[in-house]
Amino acid sequence: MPTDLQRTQVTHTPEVEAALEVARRRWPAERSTGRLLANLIVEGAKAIEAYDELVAAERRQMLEDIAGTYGHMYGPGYIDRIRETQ
Amino acid sequence: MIVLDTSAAVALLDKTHPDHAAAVEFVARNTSCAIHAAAAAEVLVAASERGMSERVWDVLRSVGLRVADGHPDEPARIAQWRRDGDLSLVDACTVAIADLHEMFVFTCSEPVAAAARQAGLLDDRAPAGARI
Repeated sequence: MPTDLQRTQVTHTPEVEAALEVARRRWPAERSTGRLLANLIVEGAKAIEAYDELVAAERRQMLEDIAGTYGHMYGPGYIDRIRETQ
Repeated sequence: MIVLDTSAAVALLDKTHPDHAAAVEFVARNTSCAIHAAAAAEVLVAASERGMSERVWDVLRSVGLRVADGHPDEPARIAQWRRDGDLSLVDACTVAIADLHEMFVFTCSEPVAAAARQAGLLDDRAPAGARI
């Protein structure tokens, strides 16, 4: 299909073929390998973003728990105080 | 890899710090952060006063914070940043190690942000960076 958009060649390594098999099961009506690859890329990016968001949420909670446990040791002027004694 | 300075690590731990939320968000989204050993030691002084420095350091390591690798030129570069950046010795350690390893600095300190920006090392998500 003619397009002005950038095109990318993909080598069908065993891993890519395996991913395409997953795509064919997910989108059984789609016959175009190119569109299956595009679907995989878009859905893959969404999955990565969702995973990163989940990891960030877990880490955010962990960091807040740490601050809740140890944060009372700090407070305004902490750095100035410890540097005055150096 | 991103280097936290003392101010950023303290903001991370101190819920009352004005930049606490920004520091938490930054570290939550960056799983691999480093800190200069001297800056880590400054953060751990409070814990050490309560006999908990090893415990707090273990907790910080558990969220991906690690000591920044050393560099053979580190002493000279620290001295340079101490003089040119008008920084405390520990802040100069942070900027020097970031400079030598070409890492960004995450800081809540305006003097550190100014020095890091001068060297092109400031992570613009840093609270102090946003104010400069």
